[in-house]
Amino acid sequence: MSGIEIERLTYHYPGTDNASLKDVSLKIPRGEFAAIIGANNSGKSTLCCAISGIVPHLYHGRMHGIVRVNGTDISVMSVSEIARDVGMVMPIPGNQLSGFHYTVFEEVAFGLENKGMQRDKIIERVKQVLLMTGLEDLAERSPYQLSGGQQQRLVLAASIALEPSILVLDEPTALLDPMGTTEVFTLLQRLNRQGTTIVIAEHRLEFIAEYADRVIALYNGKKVLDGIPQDILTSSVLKKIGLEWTRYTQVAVLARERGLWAAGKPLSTSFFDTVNGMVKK
Amino acid sequence: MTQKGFQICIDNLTFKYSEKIIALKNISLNLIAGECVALVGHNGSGKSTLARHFNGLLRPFAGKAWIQGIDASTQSVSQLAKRVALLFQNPDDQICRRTVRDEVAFGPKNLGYSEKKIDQLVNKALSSFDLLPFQKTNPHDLGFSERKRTALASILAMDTPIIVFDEPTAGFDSHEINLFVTTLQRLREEGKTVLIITHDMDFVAENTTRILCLLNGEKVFDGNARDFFSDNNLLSNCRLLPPQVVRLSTHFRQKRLAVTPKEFIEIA
Amino acid sequence: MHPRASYPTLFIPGDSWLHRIHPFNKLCYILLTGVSAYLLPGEWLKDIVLLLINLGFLLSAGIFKSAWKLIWKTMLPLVLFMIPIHGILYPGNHTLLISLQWFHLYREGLLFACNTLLHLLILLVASLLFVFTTLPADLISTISQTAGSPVLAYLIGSPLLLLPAMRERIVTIQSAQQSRGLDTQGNFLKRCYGLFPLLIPLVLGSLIEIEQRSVALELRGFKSEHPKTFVRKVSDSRLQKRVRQLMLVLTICIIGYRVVG
Repeated sequence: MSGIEIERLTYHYPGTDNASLKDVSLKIPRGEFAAIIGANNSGKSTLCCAISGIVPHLYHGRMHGIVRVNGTDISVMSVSEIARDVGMVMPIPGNQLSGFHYTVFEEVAFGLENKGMQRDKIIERVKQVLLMTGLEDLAERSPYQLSGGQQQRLVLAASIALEPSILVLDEPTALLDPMGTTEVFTLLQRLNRQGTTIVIAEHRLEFIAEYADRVIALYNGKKVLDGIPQDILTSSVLKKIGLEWTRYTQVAVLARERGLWAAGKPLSTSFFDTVNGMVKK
Repeated sequence: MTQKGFQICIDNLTFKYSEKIIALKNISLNLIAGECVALVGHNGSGKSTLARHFNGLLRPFAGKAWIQGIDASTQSVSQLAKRVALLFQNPDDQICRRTVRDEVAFGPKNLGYSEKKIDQLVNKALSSFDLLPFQKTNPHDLGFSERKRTALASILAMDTPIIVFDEPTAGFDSHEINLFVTTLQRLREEGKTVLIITHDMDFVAENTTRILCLLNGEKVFDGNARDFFSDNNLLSNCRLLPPQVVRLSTHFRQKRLAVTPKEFIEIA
Repeated sequence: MHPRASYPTLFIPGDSWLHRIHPFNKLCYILLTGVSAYLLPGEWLKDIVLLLINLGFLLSAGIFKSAWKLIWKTMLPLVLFMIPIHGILYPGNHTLLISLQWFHLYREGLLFACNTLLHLLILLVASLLFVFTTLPADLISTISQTAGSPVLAYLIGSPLLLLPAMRERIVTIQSAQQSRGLDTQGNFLKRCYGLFPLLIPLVLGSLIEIEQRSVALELRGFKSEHPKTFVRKVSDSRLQKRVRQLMLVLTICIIGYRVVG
């Protein structure tokens, strides 16, 4: 099967007794936009790392269970082999730059050079990706001259240049201003529509409500909820696992209590659904 | 302009990194005791640069900064630390002690408080951020958000009349944001002056009494949340988005702009 | 937001013949010049000829003005320091030139100082020919293309690039600790005490960074054994290759001549 399959995954970081992931099973089919939500330390980052093979290949530790990417068990693959299918973006952009490329252009080209792609094709691809990420004017700058937000886009550009079929992002927008966050999500949506599977760990549920088509909630390393955003994001379980409804949902709940919510309409998670759900007095 | 009676008084401040790079242009503002003010703007608008003038880390190129009526240019950073505490974005830029407790006590110790007072302040700060169970733990064995909470507690424990937070809630989950909100309420009751730099507009709408907005180093707004969020042009120029409830309230043309879900329903 | 510094470089953009020469040729040239200055016979005349050749190169590449500023700034303190030191204290001194009360300046020491300064000047000019006309990106890319593996390029290229980022981090850490009342001024003891709160975040932060960077490099196929391609083209030609080889052969000959002779 293409996409991601996780079977009964349990993982301990080296030297810890408490498992960071406990018996997690899930399937993310090709082309899905999946969001992983949960309080801090619930296992979101670890799950991201497990899909890209960083766990256990680079961080070691004890792992049970199977992770398959596009049908292959990743425990038998090397990290760079996995990286051909899975791109990964981590929260601190500065630490993901290669550290020895003097221009933004070359930073993006680096992964393609390592794949041995033809020079003309690399140039074409890099230009295309820089345009997509709005970095075209900064191509000749040093990567370390960029601001945090620009570096985050650069890391994303370097990752999508490799055309991974799956893109895993661990809180990629923590440093960005609201418009910057929207730009990143819009870009992810565009990639998703072109067929890239997106897996993103994110705190801000209003963005997930707008962009994701699947939500997986973790609590204490266990998968506790899994379904479409509409169901998961309005679930009453959210509060119990340390999360809060979006303001839209909060409004809908209050409106329903006061009889201001259209009968039979489900609770909303987005602006438009809330507008449509409210009944005029 | 008189600087008396203000906790922070910035008078026509300009700051340049070089002849060409002007980071802040002719900024004037006054903050009084008990205010909880949001400082917002796009990435690179000069928010952090402005905050660094409040405790003397940066010195104005032109203009003046008065802190509790004292000319900041006559004081060293460590002298100003008794009046203004400043939280930096990345906790890893400050954590230097082997236990969470020692880390939180670092600031108050530098300020020369008595042992007894330090103990009290540290306990209060630790409990505000749910850190008491970790007080003997090495901060580097904790996750990022716990390290961030440790950094927040260490700023709180300094017990200064003015506190500036740079992106205090980035990377926090909703429980952690609530801890911070509760702490803010307490600080307000204690009459502290609080300034928060943040990108979270929902947080701003619900928890601050006044908004300052910078655009390319210039102050373009100083006023209340309702006026700020009803100016759509200004918001988009500053790369900001209106909070969720404000969007709804604007859409329904409510007679008063609501900023919290409760308000929205009450007005509806 | 603080404007972020780029990497430190003396490169002057331009399109002179020297700019177009392969970085390794320029490196070979520095080597050959150094070996010639120190090991070839012919004392003064040879040194002056070498200096003139190098200055001629500076002129023809259109970088004389910028080089001149750096040359006198570097050389003046050395001149002021070495001439009196050797003029007075050189062990071979015996021909008195100037004598003012306790101040005795000797001919041998003066000549020795001038000769040393001339050698240094030649090396400095030859090095400037390289650093003023070679883009660091070209050098790093050339190294990784030639070495067949980017590891060497990483080792040489990253310190230069990461230096400004590191400096920025040190300033931030210092600011963060001062904001918590750490007094970094004052007496020696206080300063030493104030050093740990700066060093610990710096070292631990660097360790985190190194760990994450190695993960990121791995994900981008840094260690992949697949044959690599290179985007940056550094102009090379058969002629340039021949010249490079010739310079290396000459360098070895001069060294051999000195060892045997």
